[in-house]
Amino acid sequence: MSSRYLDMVRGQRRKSGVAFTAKTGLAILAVIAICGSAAYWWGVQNELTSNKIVAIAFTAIMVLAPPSLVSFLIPWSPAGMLLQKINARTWGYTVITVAALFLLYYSYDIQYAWWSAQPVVQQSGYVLPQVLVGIIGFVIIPALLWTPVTSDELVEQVRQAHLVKRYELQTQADIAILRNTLLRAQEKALIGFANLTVQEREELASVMRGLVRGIDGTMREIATSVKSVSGATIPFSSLEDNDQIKGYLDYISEALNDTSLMPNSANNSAKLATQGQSTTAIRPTQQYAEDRRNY
Amino acid sequence: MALRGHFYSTGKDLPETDLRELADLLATQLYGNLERKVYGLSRQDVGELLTAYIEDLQPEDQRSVVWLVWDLFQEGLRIEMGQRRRAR
Repeated sequence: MSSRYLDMVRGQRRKSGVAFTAKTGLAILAVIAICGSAAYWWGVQNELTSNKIVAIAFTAIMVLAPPSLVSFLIPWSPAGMLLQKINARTWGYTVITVAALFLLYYSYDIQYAWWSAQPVVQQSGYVLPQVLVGIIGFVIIPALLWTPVTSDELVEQVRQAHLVKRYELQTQADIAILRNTLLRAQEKALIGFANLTVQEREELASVMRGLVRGIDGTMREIATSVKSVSGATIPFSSLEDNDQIKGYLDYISEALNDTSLMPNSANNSAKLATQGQSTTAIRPTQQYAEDRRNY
Repeated sequence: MALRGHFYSTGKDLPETDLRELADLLATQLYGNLERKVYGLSRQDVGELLTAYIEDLQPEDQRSVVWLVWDLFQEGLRIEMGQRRRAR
């Protein structure tokens, strides 16, 4: 099974053959620049040490490391930008950023010294532009053409990001549905639950709590499955920890359990106590007796 | 039961790579026509605009493509908003 539209676009791509685009030109330029960079850094590193192996290693580092590290910092497509955003939260990305910046600084410093030692450039005051051209050619252009990961890895990472996002959306939707359900229950508690028996009220309150706990369980299962598929850790926050949901649940529980039909309830005792006090204070006969005693 | 893989599927469903390629293509086309207005589209709007291109797909695939395109727009919106906030 395939998509007609996708097949049509692929067919058009095949018909158009190999087009020489700016990107192709840039790729050729990048290859030339890398060769030039190898020649340049070999010259520099060979001067710095007589050990050929160390010089070769440092040349390889200076030719390949800056473009590959910088390529992680320059996203080239929407998927690349998304990937960069996901990776930005990891320690590895911070390490890449620091290493790339240091290598850029090193490259700048050495090139500045090298161009300063060239009499013509020094006299004409073109040291800085020459250094910048060198950095663009040796680092930026190859970096633009290198993708930090293969397209398969990219697809996989974007898929994981989508999975996590789907989970987030589902959680939000579930919370909205639950909030709505609880609000309706709250309304009904005000109107119709007065006719229920005490046991029925208790049962209803426990059903509401059970409902929230059940949804919590489902969410935890989804979070675990997303984690096992994508390897991404999702912080699971319990619905019962949500202040609003807790408020609704407490209200419903109170409305159902603490009524005048249950004499042992905390609210009721408090109410009775206040009523008792106020009744004592306003008894007219007692007031009259006290007044007489004072005279 | 049909299985959908990365590159192949045993049933009539599109493999995942095709699904994503199609979603990317359609998102690019819609953005090319509507530019920033795409950020305001709901999933239903996206579905209506894409109907002609995806009507030959399985219903599940149609839903997936619409979701992926819409999600890509949301991601774009978030990135643009972030850039604007940083610019301020």
